[in-house]
Amino acid sequence: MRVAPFIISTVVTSALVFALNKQWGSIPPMGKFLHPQYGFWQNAEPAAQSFDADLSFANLKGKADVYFDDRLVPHVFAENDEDLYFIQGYLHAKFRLFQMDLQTKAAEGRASEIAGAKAINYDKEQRRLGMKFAAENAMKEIDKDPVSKKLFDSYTNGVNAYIETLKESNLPLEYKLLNFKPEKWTNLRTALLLKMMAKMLSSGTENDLAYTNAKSVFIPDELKRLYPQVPDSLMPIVPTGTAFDKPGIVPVKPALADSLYFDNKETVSANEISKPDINNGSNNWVVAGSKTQSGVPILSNDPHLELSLPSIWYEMQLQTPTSNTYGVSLPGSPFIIIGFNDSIAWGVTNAQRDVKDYYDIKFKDDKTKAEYWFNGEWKKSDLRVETIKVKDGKDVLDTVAYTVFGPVMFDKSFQDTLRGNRNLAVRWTAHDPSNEGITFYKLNRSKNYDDYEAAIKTFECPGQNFVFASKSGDIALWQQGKFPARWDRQGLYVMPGEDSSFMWQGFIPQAENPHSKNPARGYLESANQRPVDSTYPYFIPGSYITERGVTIEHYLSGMNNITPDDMMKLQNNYFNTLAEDAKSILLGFVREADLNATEKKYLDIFKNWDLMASPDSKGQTVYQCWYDKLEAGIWKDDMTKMKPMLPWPNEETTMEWLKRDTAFKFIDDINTPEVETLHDVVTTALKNASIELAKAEAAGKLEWTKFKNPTVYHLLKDALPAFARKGLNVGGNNNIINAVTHSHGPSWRMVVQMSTPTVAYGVYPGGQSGNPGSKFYDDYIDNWVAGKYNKLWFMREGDRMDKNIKWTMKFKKG
Amino acid sequence: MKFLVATILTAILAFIAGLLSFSPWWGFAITSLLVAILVHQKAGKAFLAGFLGLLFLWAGLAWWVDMKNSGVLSAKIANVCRWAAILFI
Repeated sequence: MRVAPFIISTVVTSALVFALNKQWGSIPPMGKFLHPQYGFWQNAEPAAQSFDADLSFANLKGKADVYFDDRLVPHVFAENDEDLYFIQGYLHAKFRLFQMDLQTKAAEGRASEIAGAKAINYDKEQRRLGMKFAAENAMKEIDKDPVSKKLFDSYTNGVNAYIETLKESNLPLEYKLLNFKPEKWTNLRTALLLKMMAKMLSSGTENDLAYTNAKSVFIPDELKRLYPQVPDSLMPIVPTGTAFDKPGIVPVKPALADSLYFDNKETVSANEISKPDINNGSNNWVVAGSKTQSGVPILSNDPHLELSLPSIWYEMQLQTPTSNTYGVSLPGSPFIIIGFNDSIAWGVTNAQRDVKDYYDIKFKDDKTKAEYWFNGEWKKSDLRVETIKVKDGKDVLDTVAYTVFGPVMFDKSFQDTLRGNRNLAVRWTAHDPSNEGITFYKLNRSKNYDDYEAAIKTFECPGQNFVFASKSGDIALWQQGKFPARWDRQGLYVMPGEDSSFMWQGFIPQAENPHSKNPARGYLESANQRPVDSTYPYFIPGSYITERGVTIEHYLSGMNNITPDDMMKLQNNYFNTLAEDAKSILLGFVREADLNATEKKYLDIFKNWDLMASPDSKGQTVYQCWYDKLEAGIWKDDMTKMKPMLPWPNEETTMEWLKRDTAFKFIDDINTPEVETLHDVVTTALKNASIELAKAEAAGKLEWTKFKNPTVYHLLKDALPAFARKGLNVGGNNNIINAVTHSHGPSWRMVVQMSTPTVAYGVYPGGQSGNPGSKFYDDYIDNWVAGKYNKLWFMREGDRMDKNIKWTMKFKKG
Repeated sequence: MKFLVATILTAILAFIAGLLSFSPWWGFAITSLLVAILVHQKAGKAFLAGFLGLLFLWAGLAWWVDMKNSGVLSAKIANVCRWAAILFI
C-alpha cells in the first residue's frame, strides 16, 4: 500500500465528514440527515408499524396497560392517578415531543435559540409581556397544593422518561431538520404551555393602544357608536330576560377621570408584534332532553384556533379504578381538556373578555428604569435582566422593569418605533397566581352539576364559557374567569399610572359571573358573543363576535327531536347571517344603471345566492369582496388619518349603523370635495370588488374554497410547506358556524349524547402522530373537510380483549 | 474477487457501525478505511469498492424503508428540499 493515496483519501474523507457534519445556513448537516440509519429515513414509519411494547420505569407505582385502537387513540388503564399522568406524559412525548418543546420555548421567549436573529423581537415581547413571570407565579400556586404537585410531577416524569429513550436516530424529524436537541421537561414548562393558551385567548381581546389613539381623534359620542359595547343584534349567552343580582362591588370612577383620562389626547405609537388572532373563538351548545329524540341532553363543542400539523389536540381515554374520561388533551399538559366521562360532558369557548390594561409609567431616568413615580414618591422598580440566546449570534440582553401594575412592556428601547415617548406597564390577570390545571383534573372526575360548579370555580385566566350536560339531565353554561370590576370605560384606553387611583378596585364576585342552568327553552349556547345583555350590572369590554351566536340561536330555537346527527350537521353549517342582513342594504343602494356587463354579472350571482358559504359558492366570494370594499369605502379615509391606523369598527357595527342611519357622516370620503352618499359607496364598492373578482375568476378562483384556499400548515409554517395540507375543499368563514378561514377554524369538533352507554363523535384536522413520516400524521383531515366524524370508542374494563384493539403497550414498575 | 470482497465488506461493516449506539453517524468512514487497509488493492479500485459498497448499502436501505413507508415521507422530503432530491436521484 502506498502512503500518499492513503493520506490523501483520509484527508479528503475527513474534510467531507466535517463538511457534512456541519450546518450550512438553514441546511441541516447533510451527512447525518441523509444517512439511512440516523437521518430522516428513520422517521419513515412503516405503514404496518406495530406499537406494541413492554416498558418498565422506576417512577411507576404499579402496572398499566395502554390499548391503541385503529386510529392510534390510546385508551390508558392505570391503577392510580400518578401512573395515569406519567403515561399521559410519556405518550404526549412519544407522539408530539417537537410541538411541546417548540411551543413552550416560544412561550418563554426563547424562539431565537431555534430560529436565530429574526425572532429576537418576538422573544423580547414574550418576556416583556411577562410570560415566564406568569408561569412562575402559577408554579408557586401548584407547589402549594400537594395533590397538584404530585400530578404535575408525574406528568413531567413521564415526558422525561420518553426523552431519555431517544437516540440520534429516533429524534423527531424536525430536530434533524433544524439541528437541535429536545430539552428536559419541567413543571414550569407545563405552566408555560398553559400561559401560552392564556395569551392566545386573553391577550388579544383588548384594543387599548388603538382605542387610545381613536380617543385623540373622535369625540366621546362617536367613540360609543364606532366601538359599541352591546350590539343591536346580540343574542347573549345568558338568555335575555334573566334577572341579575345586585352587584357585590361597585367600582368608583376617580375624581380626575375626565381631565387625566377621558380628555387626554396623547397618542401612543407602540404596537404588539404577535397579537393573538381575533378569530380565536369557538362554538359550544347544549340541548336538554326536552328537545332531543332520545330524551337525554346532547352537548356540542368546536374550539376555533389556528389550524396546525401536528394538531394542538391529542385524543385519548384516561381510566383508573376511580375515574374514566375521554376527550382531547393538550400535549404539554396533563388531563383531558374537552371531553366526557361516565356522568357528565363539558366543552369550552373563549370568553373574549378584556382582562389586560396598560398604565403610563414615569421613570426617574428612562435609561436605567430603576425608579418610577407612584403615589407621591420614587419607587424602586424590580429589574429583570433577560438574556436572549440567539442561534448563530451573540446573546441579546434586555432589561424589563416590573412595577406595582406589572412589567413595563413598551418603552424607548422596545417597539415604540414612531415616537418612543411613553413607558407602558401591563396589568394582566394571567400574571396573578392561579392553578388552572386543577380545574380540568376535577372536571375529569365530576359526577354532577355541583361537582362541575366546584371544579370551574377557581379557573381564572383565560376566561372560558364552560358548557355542561349530565346524565341526570342537567344542562348549564358558566362564563368563568377572574374579571376586573370596572367603572364605565375603565381600561378601554391607556390609564394614568402615577398613583393607585386608576388601578382595578376589585374583581366581579365569582358567583356573579354570567351563567344559566336548565333554562325553560331547553338549550344554551356560546359563540364568543357578549355574554349578557345591557342589564348586567358591570362594565365588561371585550372583543366579542356576534354573528355565530345569532345563527346558532336561530337554528336551535326551531329544532326539536334533535339527534347527534343534527348537531354534527349544525357544526358544519354554512349559513351567513351577516350577509342576510346586508342583502337589503347592498341591493337597496346599488345603482344598477351605472354598472357595466362584468359588474352586472357579479351582481346577478349575488342576487341568486342562497346565503350559504359552501365550498363551491360563488355568491359568498362576491358578497365577501363587496362587503370588504364597502367597509373600506366607509372607514378607510377616517381610520388612516393617523399612524398607526385607527381601529376599524366591527363588520356588524357597520351593518347595524347602516340599518339605523343610511346617511351617517362617516359614509362621506373626507379626502374628496364631493359629499358621497350610501348609493355612491355601495356602487363604487361593487365596482372595486368586480376588479378583484374578475382577476380571481380569470385564475379559476371564484368558488369560495378556491378563493380562500383553506390550509392546515405545519407548525413551522412557510419554512416547511411540504408538510402542510393545502387547497382543502371546505367552505365557511369566521362569522359562520363552520368557522374555517384560510388557516384557522374548528380545531376539534365533538358531539356527545348523554345516554347509557354514552354516544360520542369527534374529529380534528390532523392525526394522532406528530411525525410527518407516519400515516397517522394527517389521516383525519379528509373526514374533517367532509364534515364526517369518528365514532369515539369509550372503552370499558370488559373490553380488554376487544377486536378494536390493534396494539398494546404494557407499563410496569422496574 | 478482492474487489467484490472489499465492496461487500465495506457495506456490511458500515451497516454494523450504523447499529452501534456509541458510533457517530460517520462511523462508516472509519470502517471503510479499515477495509481499504486490510484488503490490499490499487488505490483507484480500493476507492471504487468503498464507494460502491456504501452506495449499495444506502440505496438498498433507503429503498427498503421507503417501500415499507409507502413513500409517505420521501415525497414530502423531496419537496422540502430540492437539493436533497437532486443528491439522491
